[in-house]
Amino acid sequence: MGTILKDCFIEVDSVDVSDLVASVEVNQSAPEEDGSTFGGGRSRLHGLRDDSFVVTFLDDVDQAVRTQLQPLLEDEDTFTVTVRKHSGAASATNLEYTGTCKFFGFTWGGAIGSRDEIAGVTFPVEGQIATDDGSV
Amino acid sequence: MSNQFEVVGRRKIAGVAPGGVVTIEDEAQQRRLIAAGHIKPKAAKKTPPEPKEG
Repeated sequence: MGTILKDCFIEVDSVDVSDLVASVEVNQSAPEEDGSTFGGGRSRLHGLRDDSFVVTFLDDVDQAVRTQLQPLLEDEDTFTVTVRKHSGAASATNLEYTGTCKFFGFTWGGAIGSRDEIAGVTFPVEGQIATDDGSV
Repeated sequence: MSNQFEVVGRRKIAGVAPGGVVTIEDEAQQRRLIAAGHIKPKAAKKTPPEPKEG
């Protein structure tokens, strides 16, 4: 039986922004590199991990999202992003994904009548995303 | 500066609800969270003046 995402937890730079987020993606991937050599068949190598979090924010009247993102952009420093499927503590059934991220910009705008969103905000991860099942 | 801050915005900071006290070690993060209006330095406790002798 499937489930519906209703209660994801998203924390950016220690700030709980869950109620400003309309969608979140946790991307964990490594590019496939060709490791084939003469005398053998196709061989594949794992390239460098290129993990990221991608978030669509809905801003509020206080511009909470822009207030949150602007210092991250201007500081040019690393910060932590944490995502869980549910707002409860990390567990075997509620994995926590954490990454040390940098931020390189966002685009805000929209047409008349559109919702005030900042879509596709990407937080690329330095290194790779760590997962925690609450057992540590 | 102390690493203890009062959560003054509307959002939880490191799991601490507004009105609570949170410890932030990273100075750059302290600056960012203050700039965004999430935290403010925890007010130092007022020590009562020593009673005058005589």
